[in-house]
Amino acid sequence: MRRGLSTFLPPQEYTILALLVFLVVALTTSSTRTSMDPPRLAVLALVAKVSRPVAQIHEWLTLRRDNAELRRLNAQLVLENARLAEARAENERLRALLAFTEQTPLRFVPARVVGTSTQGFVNSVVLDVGRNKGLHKNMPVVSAEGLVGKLYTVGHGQSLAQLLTDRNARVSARVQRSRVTGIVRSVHSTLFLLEQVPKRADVQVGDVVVTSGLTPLFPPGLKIGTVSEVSEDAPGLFMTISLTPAADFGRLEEVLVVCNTGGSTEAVRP
Amino acid sequence: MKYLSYVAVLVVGLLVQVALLRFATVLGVAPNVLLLATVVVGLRRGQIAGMLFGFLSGLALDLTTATLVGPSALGHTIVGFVAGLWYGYSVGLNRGASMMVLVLCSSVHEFVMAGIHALTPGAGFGFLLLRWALPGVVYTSLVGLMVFFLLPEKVWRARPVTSLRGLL
Repeated sequence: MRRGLSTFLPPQEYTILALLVFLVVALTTSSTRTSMDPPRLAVLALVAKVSRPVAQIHEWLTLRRDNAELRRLNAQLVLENARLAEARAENERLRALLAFTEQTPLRFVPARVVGTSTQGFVNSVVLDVGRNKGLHKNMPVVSAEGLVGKLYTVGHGQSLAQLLTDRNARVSARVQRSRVTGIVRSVHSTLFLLEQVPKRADVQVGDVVVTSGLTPLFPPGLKIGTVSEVSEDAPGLFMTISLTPAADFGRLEEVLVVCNTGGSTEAVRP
Repeated sequence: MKYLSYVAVLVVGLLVQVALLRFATVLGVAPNVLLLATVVVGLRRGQIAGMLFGFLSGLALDLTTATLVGPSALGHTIVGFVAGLWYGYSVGLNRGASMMVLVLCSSVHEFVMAGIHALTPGAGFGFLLLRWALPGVVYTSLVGLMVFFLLPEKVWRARPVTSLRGLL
């Protein structure tokens, strides 16, 4: 009887494969962003705990190179600072004339990258700070060069940040010079696209693209990248604008989390 | 006790993947050591063990990314199934043939991942295959060379287990 029955049943391996595939589909379709937080945070806590010493060792190994780079950057910034001080003084005079209110300066929390998702299709990093430093979901993450991404999940002492290079990331952006707005998305870590910009809009190669501030997620003026190519050849209403990202996503080691964006970060759902 | 060793392989593999291999990326791509481990488990212990290990390792990888849970779990489960197809022959499988199994499994995995991610708006399936999948297969296979050609054969050769009962 048993043998007869087994001839009608699929082999055990196929049954288990079907069960596991069903389980994956059920997990994918039923899990919301927050429902997977407990297991996600448990895994991240383990990763962060082990990765901290690794990150520390890597820091020591790259100290000499970083030091030389920072010296060069410092000299450059001293010169630029002198020029900006002039511009600031002029700006303050003009603001006073126009009775503008002063914007709140941004507050940053430094964080170390202790882990990276190394799958090409998705891009995220594990940071070694979390709620213990007052961080919340959706807070912007920046590097010295520009916008890097936003916090996706926040645990007590670690958090997961979604990078701009992730295929699911989008940012409302503005061309700094002409104030033309659009939406930035990533093609890969060294190429972004500025989309939804009408043909004949004023965009030139070399223009700097920054966050627009039109959504409460990112404060205005964070650098995203520089226009590297403008084309009106594509069919449709919009231009094809390529950007070179400002941040070096291949070498993210330390980042800053922006804690005051001017809006309620916790309430925002992308 | 043997299950503990698989759990240990999974945890160590995950930590290596997330914490260490970020320093070894080329063009944004890193070798997938958990996929390699899934292939070895599939070759050593068959489809069921390979699928279970693949499911858990893929799930663990998914949990370290800022996206929906599932794509890696599905990809690794299928890899465990495919690698386990060679389990019966694995006792006599030479290093070159084992490498071919790894290349096949890695290709299947990247194909599945590209297919899933092509469903979201953005770059198309062809671009994903060329930009991410192909380099991923090459890089993972290069690391696989070290496993199959430098490590002792007992690390990846088959052990006779024929059913779930035998596994448990």
